[in-house]
Order: sequence, then C-alpha cells, then structure tokens
Amino acid sequence: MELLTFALPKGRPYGHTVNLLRQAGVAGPELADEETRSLLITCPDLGVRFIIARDSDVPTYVEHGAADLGIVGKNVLMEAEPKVYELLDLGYSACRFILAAPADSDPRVLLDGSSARRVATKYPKMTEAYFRTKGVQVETIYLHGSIEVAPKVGLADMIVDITETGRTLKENNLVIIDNLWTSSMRLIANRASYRLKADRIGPVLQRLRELAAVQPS
Amino acid sequence: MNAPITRNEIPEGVRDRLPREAARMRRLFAKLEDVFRSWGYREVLTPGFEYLETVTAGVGSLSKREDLYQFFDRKGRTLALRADMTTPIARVAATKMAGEPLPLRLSYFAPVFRRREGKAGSASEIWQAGIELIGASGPAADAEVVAMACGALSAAGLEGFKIGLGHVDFVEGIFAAAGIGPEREALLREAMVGRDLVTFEKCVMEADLPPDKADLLLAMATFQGTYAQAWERFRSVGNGQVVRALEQLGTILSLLEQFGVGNSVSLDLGLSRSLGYYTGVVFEGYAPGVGAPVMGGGRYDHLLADFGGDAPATGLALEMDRLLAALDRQTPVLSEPGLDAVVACPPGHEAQAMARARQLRVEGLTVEVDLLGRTGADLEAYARARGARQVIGPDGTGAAVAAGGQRVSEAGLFSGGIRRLRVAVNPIH
Repeated sequence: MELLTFALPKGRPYGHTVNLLRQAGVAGPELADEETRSLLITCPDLGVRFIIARDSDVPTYVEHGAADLGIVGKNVLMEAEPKVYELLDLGYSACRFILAAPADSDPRVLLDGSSARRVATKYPKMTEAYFRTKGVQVETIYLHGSIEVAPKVGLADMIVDITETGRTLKENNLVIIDNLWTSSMRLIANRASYRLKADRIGPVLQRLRELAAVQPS
Repeated sequence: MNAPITRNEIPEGVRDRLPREAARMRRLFAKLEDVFRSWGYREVLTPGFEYLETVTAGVGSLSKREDLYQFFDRKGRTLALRADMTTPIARVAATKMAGEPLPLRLSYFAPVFRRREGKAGSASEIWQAGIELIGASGPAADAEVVAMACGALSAAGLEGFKIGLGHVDFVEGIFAAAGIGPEREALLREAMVGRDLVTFEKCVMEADLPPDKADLLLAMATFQGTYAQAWERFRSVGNGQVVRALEQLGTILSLLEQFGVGNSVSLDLGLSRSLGYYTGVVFEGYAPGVGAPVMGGGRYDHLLADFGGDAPATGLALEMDRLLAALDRQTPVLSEPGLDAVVACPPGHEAQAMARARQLRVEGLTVEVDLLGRTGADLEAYARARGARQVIGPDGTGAAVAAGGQRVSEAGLFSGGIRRLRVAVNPIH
C-alpha cells in the first residue's frame, strides 16, 4: 500500500489531534497520545506515516509534498497563505484573533491615527491587513512569543494575538479592543496528492467530516 | 575588489540557469516539441512585451493587472510584459494568420512574466511550453489537446501523472440551479480556485439555501468519482447547461479512453482556473511530489473576438520548472551530457590540434581544444572537471580519463563503451 503521510503540529493540540485520528481509524497505537522524542512515526498496518512538526512548519511540509495531508490551525494558514487545499474545519482548538491594549488606555486615542502606534504580534501579515482595512497606520513589531508582555515593558501600545479563554490577557491587565477573526484546526491537503491519492484521502476526509460534525467545537 | 552588492544580485522571482540546468530545460523542450510537431503543431514566437490593452484582453479584472510588469513607450503608451502566451497567440491567429486554413495548430516555448514579489519561492519569470488549437470546436478537438498533454508528459518521462477534467458551463449551470446571488457566487468561485472547501462550505451555509441546493453546491466542489457517478448525481438538477456540459465531458472521456490515455484522466468537476477567458472544458495535470499543476489549459472560444477574429479555440501550457522538479524527484539527474574529448594543444601545435578536433567533430563527437596549453596531470584534471571521457594529443594519441584519476592504458581504452573512439584516435596521415 502506498504510504499516506500526515504532518501534525506539536504542542497544545497534539493530544486532541491524536485522539481524533485514532477515533477515525486513521492512526494506530504507534501514534502515542503523549509527544515522544520521535518525530517520524509509521503505522505500517494502516499504511500511514506521521511527521510531528512545529505548527508553523506543517503547511510547508504539505505545500511541498513532503506530507500529503496536514492538521493545523487556521491562524497559521492565514499568516502563511500556503498553496494547499483546505478541506475541513475540524472545530477544535478554537480561538480568536484579538486586538488588545492595557486596561488603563483609551482605545479611541490609540486608534485615532494621530501618531503611529506600535503593535506587537506573532502575526505581522494579518495585523497589517487588519489595520489597512481600518485605515489606521501602525508600526508592527514582530515577536516569536510572550506577546502579552510587550505593552507592560513599553515595547508596544497594543497587541494582536490569539486567545482561547482570555485568561492570559486578564493576567497581564489587557482588555480586548476588537475581535478580528476566529480560528480552529483545519485539515489541509497537498494539491497534487488531493488528485493522485484521491482514493486514500477520500475516506479519511469522509471519516473526519463525520467526527467533526458530532463534536462540539 | 568586491563590486557593490546590488550589481551582483538579481531581482526576486527570477533566476539564472547555468549550463547544466539550461541543457536540461532544452532537452525537455526538445522532447515536448517532438510531440507537438508530430501532431502538426508549428512554433510561433511573439514579442516579450505588448500594449497593455493586448496583454489584458481576456484577463480583464483589476486584480490581475496588479500582477503585470508595466512601463511606457516614448509616446507615453502603456506597455506590459506578456503574462501568458495564449493571448498573444490569439492576437496573431486573429490578425496575421487570419487567412490561413483552419484549424491553426501553433506551439510555443517562452517565458511569461507575472509579479510575484513578496511570495517566497514563487517565480515571476515562468517558462512555458504549450500549444493552441484554433478554429476547431467539439469534443474531438478537446480530446486532441488532452491526449497530446498525456503524450507530452509521457514523452518527458513523467510517470504517475493525473489530469483532472472540468467544465466551465457545468460550474455555471450548478450556480444557476442553486440560485445563489452574484455576490456569494463570486466568493464561492474564489474559494474554488484555491480549493478552500472550508470557506466554500461556510459561505454556502450562510446563504440559507434549501438543503438540496446547498448539497448540490457542496457536491460540485468536492466531487470525486467516475463519470457514471457524476451523471447519476447531477443530470437531474434541471439545468440544460449542466447536462450539456456533462454530455460533452462524457464524449471526451470516452474518446480519451479509445486513445489509450483514459487511465491518466479523471473528472474534476470542482476545477476552476484563475484565468477569466475559459469557456468550456478546462483541465489541470498533477505529478507526484509537486504541489502545483505541471500543466493546465482549456477552451477559450471568445478570446479571438477581442482581436476582431471569430474562432473557437483550446490549448494547454506546460510549466517547465514544475515539470523539471517532478522529473527530478522521480529520477535525480546526475550528469549533463558529457564532452567526448579534450584535444591537447601545447604551444606551437595549434594547427594540428584544430585539424584533429575538426576530424573528430566530423565523426559526430563533442570536442574541445584546450586553449590554455595544458599538459599531463593539469590537462587531465581539467578534462575530468569538464566530464570529458578522453584526452587526445594533437597527434591523435589518446587516453581515457578515469573517474578516480587513474590513467587507463591504451589497451583498456578501446574496450567496452568507448569502442566508438577507436577510429577517432588513429593518427592523421
């Protein structure tokens, strides 16, 4: 049987992803629900292989055909705009893109456009797109993590980040000024594999579609 | 002294092709061209830039104009680098070749230019080989082009490719049958081009259509299956356009079956290509390991009218770089076609060396004369670096260049694969 390769993201959604794939009968016991040191896992009986990668690398594996399918957050896809097919909204790891600022600041002043404000974010492209549509000029400051600290240390006036519960924001004394977009996990496919391995991908898509439909997202 | 760095750089999206890569591209095109020619297609060359109005005929939309490289001539008229080859060939067919008997079968091998700055890794200068079949409508013409695409991909040595077949009228008819408004339809079409099924589904759900209409749209976007299944699912939607499109696709598929390429072709009813001028059957070809189509094309019956002509037409373009990437993935290319021999040319032996080289070339070999007058180990090292199989003295004595740097004896030289050189190394009398 021709091997079907998935790229899966490490980190928080990993356990949920594994459960879903096992439930769908796509993954076998070789794919442990705890992350291990091994980054390449094969289930020979099922003819599938899994590449465990950083979430932002998942679209890259899929776009270039190193993986046929991938599971990754919409937030990553929106920022990277990879040339892949987005097949299914899996519903979990739902979160919001938000614009937030310190609780003691006045959003009207921050967004009045009178002086360029600094916005810290992990999502520079999305941030610039958002402010362009608002007609507000800002200076985007790209950070790899700990965005919520940036206003506190004077690095930025506002942040654009994703949040699931809003707890981190509260802990850092930040309030939401605007909700930009929502995100959740998506099933993506390499454009050639979608055709060339249609007979393998079809049933996977069907099974995951059924599971996504019954799952509270 | 280092030159200022900007002088040595080349812009984003373009690349140099060094001898090895250039040779690969030429060899690939030669194989494709053999196929094109054997089907009666003749090559045309058109200008690299034309008036903006010409380049945008059939493309139309403003978003596409942003992708054009534009500049001005001395009279202030706007010029643009060609963004595809179909449009200029349609112009030529409708004007300068208007008197020729139809159908016109034309081929090309040329770069097209599209702004892709800021998109990492995407090319702005795209080499394409392709054909246009102008003045023939009907399934036989569509089938010829798809069959030729299969022939060309096979001749290139590509294995395991698949061509997906769709129809512009089918998509149009399904949208009409679903009765979705023009604004939503535009969003759905955009989602189809990128095959963003999540957005497609959301947009359909938000439209609040009756369930059977929503299902119809989703079935179109996600359809994978046989022709019989497609006919079963879509013939009863109550739209003549849909039925006629399916009938055409059925005829083409059965012709392709009879042409012996049926296995490489399947239906892809959700196929939607980004260029606006398509009117009938459209198709894309995919190869293992390359995440973008290696080939694409379709029918464009109204494009010639933009140039005052009137003829149905269809065509295809092969993306050379994607095709090369697919071939490379299949069987990595290890060497370029070698040099047969280097003729030594110590000072004072120029005439003799040139005569020797000329004789070898007459015999069909690829031969260099060493212009730097090297001898012994130096010459041999040079020959090895150039991938030459032979070092030949101006007097005709020769020795094979061994891979490991060992000099092969004359006896060994004439055995096996290089027997062909025996004649060549006889001294000149």
